[in-house]
Amino acid sequence: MSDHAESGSHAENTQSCHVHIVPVKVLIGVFLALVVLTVVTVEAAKFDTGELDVIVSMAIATVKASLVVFIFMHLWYDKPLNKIAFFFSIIFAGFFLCMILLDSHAYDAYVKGFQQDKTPTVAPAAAAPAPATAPAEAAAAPAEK
Amino acid sequence: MNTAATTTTDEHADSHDHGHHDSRLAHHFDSHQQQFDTGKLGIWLFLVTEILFFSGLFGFYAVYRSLHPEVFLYASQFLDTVLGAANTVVLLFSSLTMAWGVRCAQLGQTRGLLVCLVITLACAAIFLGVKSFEYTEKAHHGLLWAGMYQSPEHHAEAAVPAAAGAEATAGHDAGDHAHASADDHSDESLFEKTKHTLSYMTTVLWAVIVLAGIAFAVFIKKPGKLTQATIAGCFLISAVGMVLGTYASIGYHHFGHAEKPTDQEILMAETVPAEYAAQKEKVPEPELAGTFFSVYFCMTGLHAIHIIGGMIAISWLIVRTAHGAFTTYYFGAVDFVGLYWHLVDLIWIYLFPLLYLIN
Repeated sequence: MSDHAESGSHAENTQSCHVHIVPVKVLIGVFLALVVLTVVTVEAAKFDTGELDVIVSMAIATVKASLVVFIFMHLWYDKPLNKIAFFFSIIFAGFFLCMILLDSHAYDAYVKGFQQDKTPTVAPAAAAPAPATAPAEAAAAPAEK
Repeated sequence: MNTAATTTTDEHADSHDHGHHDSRLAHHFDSHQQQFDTGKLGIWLFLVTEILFFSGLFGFYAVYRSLHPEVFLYASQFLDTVLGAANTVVLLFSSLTMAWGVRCAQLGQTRGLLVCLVITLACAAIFLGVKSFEYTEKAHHGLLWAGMYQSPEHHAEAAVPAAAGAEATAGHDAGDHAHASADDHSDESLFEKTKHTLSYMTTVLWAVIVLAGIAFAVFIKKPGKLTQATIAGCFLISAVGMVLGTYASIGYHHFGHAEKPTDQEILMAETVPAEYAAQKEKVPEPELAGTFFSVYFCMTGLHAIHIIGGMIAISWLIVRTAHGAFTTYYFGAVDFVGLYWHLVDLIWIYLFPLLYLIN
């Protein structure tokens, strides 16, 4: 920053701002890539891949997001401080999601035990939603209330 | 650093008589480069807080989906993927024009910047228009947040798949009972209600715009014709965009209705609604289906509020651009609003597959 201050002593040099300018071709290319990826994610969602579904759609969304962040938001050419700020926020948001998921699943054993205690009394009621999806324990919990 | 800054500012103060004072450079900055870099760090820090802010809602989503996947499987059937994908493309396009606008600002092309900003604003308005159609339709189908949620199972079966006509067809196919004609009527009437509400809302929207225009004209000190005209223009573009988006979705719905009936088409179409029709017997309504719509309205609603904020910011940019405020060395505001706008786009990129594409 000190070198800017030095050059800033001249009146004309203060009136300059050097940044990276993205060419139009790159912008349009990124946009087309984003549209293609949108189509891909919609088509991919039509295949029943079970557990993989979320992972695939999130992977595609992350590719799209990085295109937007690096090219449209110029982060690729940006100062290291801005990059660090952004990536740390992403990492901490990730930590946050992991922690609350860990926490909410810490009680799975209790819920299971509660359901097993309850099942004999409400067996016919719980039987209907059970075949709906794979995690039948989770499905049974709301059905019993 | 501080001392250095003061000395340069003093030099500036000395050189007042020698050259024109640069009104675009705040007095506490040495140079435009420094002003720009500082602002950029500031906007990035703001974006960081935005990401952490939204991560709370994503956490809500993640916990709820991991505990009750069947609710998401069931309830996301009612969201129209086509409208969602169209909205995604509209938002991506607005992101493109915004990035292009930033480029124009960097190169000092005022006219190009103005065109790009206007297109961005219009796209944002179209997005909101489509969203308002989706919200209105869901409200009429009783698909609201938990507590207000009404089970679609006790509507006629055709009313179940909310958005697309194609989905309505699939619903007919699934519930191929004697109710078929009655179902059709109920869905039609719901759609008519939706249209009625939307046309009412459009009228209200125009009234709000006229009132806001008058308010702006009255309250802005020394308004100047150019400012007034550009503000009015921004409001007009937003309104036209919203109406366009709304009626495009209504037209899409009509189109879906027009080409629905034959059963072969339904059998041949290997689409999600058809699969839904096939699965229908196997997927009963979970108890907590309304909570999905709580998540849906929270996340998309907060996103829509951000869109509105972005539209206000873009209108501000348009007014300043019309006054010729931006030059090759002063374009920070355009870049910063652009960054915010891309973040809004970024959040939608994640929201779309998370809410609409659950199979």
